[in-house]
Amino acid sequence: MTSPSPGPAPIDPLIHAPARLSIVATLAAVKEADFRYLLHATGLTKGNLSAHLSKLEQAGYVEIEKTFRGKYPLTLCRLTPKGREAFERYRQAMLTYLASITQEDS
Amino acid sequence: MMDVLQQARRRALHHWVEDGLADLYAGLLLVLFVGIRFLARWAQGRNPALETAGEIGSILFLLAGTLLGRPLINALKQRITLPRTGYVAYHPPSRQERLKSLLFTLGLALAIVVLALIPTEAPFLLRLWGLHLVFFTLAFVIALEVRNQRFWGYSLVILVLALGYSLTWERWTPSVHELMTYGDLTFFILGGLMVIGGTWALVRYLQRYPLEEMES
Repeated sequence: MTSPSPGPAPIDPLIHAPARLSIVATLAAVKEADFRYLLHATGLTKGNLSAHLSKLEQAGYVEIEKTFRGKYPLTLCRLTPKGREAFERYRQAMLTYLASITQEDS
Repeated sequence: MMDVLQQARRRALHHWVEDGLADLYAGLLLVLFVGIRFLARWAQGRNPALETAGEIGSILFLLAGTLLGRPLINALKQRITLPRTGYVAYHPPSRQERLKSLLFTLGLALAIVVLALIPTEAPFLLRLWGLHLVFFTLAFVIALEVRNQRFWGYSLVILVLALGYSLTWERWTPSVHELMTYGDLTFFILGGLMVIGGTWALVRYLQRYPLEEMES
């Protein structure tokens, strides 16, 4: 009897939500971005973005720093190493899922 | 389908050129550079010292403008872009990316040295195409990196100009030939187009993103 092959890694529900996925993917591609940039990049409302960022910060995936650039207040957001690892795991898991679906179809 | 990360990277790069400030600055630099060279030529015969000063001054101006470009554009972005579409910082380039940039810069520098060594008796079209090929490569690589329509347009203009000069060069006087072979005419037209393109992009950007109250 052969043992079943191990399934793909579980999907991280914190990243899987569309709004949070959009935030994490945007931050994964850059060193850091401010709140306003994220607003434009994700298309979320201020309240929504703020709520999702708080959840990601609580999970230790995102680091938020309030600072100033000249006279402008900036809310800088960046992924923590933990957040980057989680996003990479999520990407790999999704790729595995999608590959297995394609195989089943063919 | 494009990778979601790739899309996010492209968006961050697009953010840098969306406001048109980079082309506006580079265009002004090119137009002024050619302006100083024109003045130096105009001084030819009147005052040789002034001509030499103009030639050296134009090179120094271009070098200083290039070196000061990033801090100056960043200062402008802080006033114009930051309050509208925010701030983003790219990842520092990887070792492989740095090596690629270094090799590209060295290749470009080598091509310029080779061009400078071509004797003046060499066929006119050889110098002209060599020079325009270097300009085109530089503009094309920038366009490839930022994937912006304006920058594709700028690189295309260089090719069109080189082709146009080649087809019509017999009609021009030697003084215009000199402007073509040393790239001054191309620099001037390209710089002017970049100023127009950058201004147009800036106006559209300001209309699209009116200033909101800062609360981020």
